[in-house]
Amino acid sequence: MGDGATLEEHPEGQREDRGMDRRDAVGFDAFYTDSWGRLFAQAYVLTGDREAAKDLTQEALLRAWRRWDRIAGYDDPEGWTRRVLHNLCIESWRRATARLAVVHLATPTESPDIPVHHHELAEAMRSLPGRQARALLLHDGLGLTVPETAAELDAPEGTVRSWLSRSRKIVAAHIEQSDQPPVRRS
Amino acid sequence: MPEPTDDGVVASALRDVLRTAAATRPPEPPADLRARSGRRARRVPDLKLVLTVAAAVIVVAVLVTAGVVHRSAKEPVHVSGSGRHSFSIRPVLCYAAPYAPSSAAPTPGGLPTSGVLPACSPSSALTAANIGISPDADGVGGYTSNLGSIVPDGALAAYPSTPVAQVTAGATVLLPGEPGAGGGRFVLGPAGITGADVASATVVRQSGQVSIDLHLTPAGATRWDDLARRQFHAIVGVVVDGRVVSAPVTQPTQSSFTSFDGSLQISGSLTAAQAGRLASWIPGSR
Repeated sequence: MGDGATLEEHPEGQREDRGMDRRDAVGFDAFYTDSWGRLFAQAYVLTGDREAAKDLTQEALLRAWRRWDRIAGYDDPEGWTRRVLHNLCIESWRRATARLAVVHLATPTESPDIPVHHHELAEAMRSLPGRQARALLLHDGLGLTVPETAAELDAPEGTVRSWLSRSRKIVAAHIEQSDQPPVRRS
Repeated sequence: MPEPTDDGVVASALRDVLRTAAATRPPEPPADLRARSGRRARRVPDLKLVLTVAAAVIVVAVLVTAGVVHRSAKEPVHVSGSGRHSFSIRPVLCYAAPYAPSSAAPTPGGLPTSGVLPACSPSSALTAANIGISPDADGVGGYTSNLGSIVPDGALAAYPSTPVAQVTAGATVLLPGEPGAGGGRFVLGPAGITGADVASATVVRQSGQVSIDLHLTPAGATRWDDLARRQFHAIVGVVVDGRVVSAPVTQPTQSSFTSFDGSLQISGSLTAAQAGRLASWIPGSR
């Protein structure tokens, strides 16, 4: 399929950060290398789409680099990046609303590198309201405590507890409906 | 119904996926990412990747406020098109099983011809009645449906996909789907609109997101509304060069159809380059 078209460069594409840059590139590169897989995995759980998850992870890390002079001094730069990433993922749900209706009809065997139950889990996550999905990922997936989860989502702890309880039931029911085992037996 | 022990199942499923996915390698070294700082344009991937990624994220925005398609606050990026690619939006009639001539359903008299497709079986037909959309603020994307229980038509495994050259506007066709459209294969009816109905296709950047605004000719606007109304709470397929790149449900969060007034939007996590290239495929773009 040919590519006979041209796209005029957006003016923004011409700009480049130059000049005085006090950001610690070495520190950022180490952070990037260390955190990339974990961040990507979270984006993948929330989107169920490897390519979208990669793009969103890059976008979140790009935002981190743009503010790296400040973020590098935070106690938990990955926590900052994670919050940005999770928000980007949830936003992407809204943009992809119409697509979601058909995505779960995909033939999983056409993506041999992705286990079937991964699709199903991501689907179940997307069936939750955004903050509830984030709560489940943070608490059950990443092992944050309820107070930590509540702080990250800026929600009362009691609310987070009820979100977790409700979300688990929905996700578990979704997993049980499938013919595939929810967890890989090895 | 699930018992309280479900929390262990969910946590272990989540951790399993997280652990597996975390082994994925970054797509570029950190220095490349830093080099893009200050620029919003991303690296331009190769065409195959563009197709895959674009298809994975493209959606015809079925806006709650259809007919009031918002205008971009930012300046548009105009694209120039070659006009050599085919574009159409068609009703999706059903999903079809993968082509499997060896295990095909019996077809007395020899192999089926690609030009004549059987009707979708009643249970697989993607009619609004079968899909059963219910606008529901608590559902995925603001609605619930039976889509998860509608299976591809197995009898169609005997039929190869329609060759691109035979994907004419008036034909009912069997086409492969890009991953973003759910993969698999689709049976689609005659085109509701084609590239000739597009007055302009403009790539728009807004809040860091890129989308393609399509403005239809007056005749195209009427044809699109006819198709969208006919497919209200059912599925339309966006077909580019014989592949279904997106297959959204029409206005699933609304209880009744509203006119698009000649504007629709193809949106998603597109980069400017991806959107520009896709828009350029639409013959009416300029």
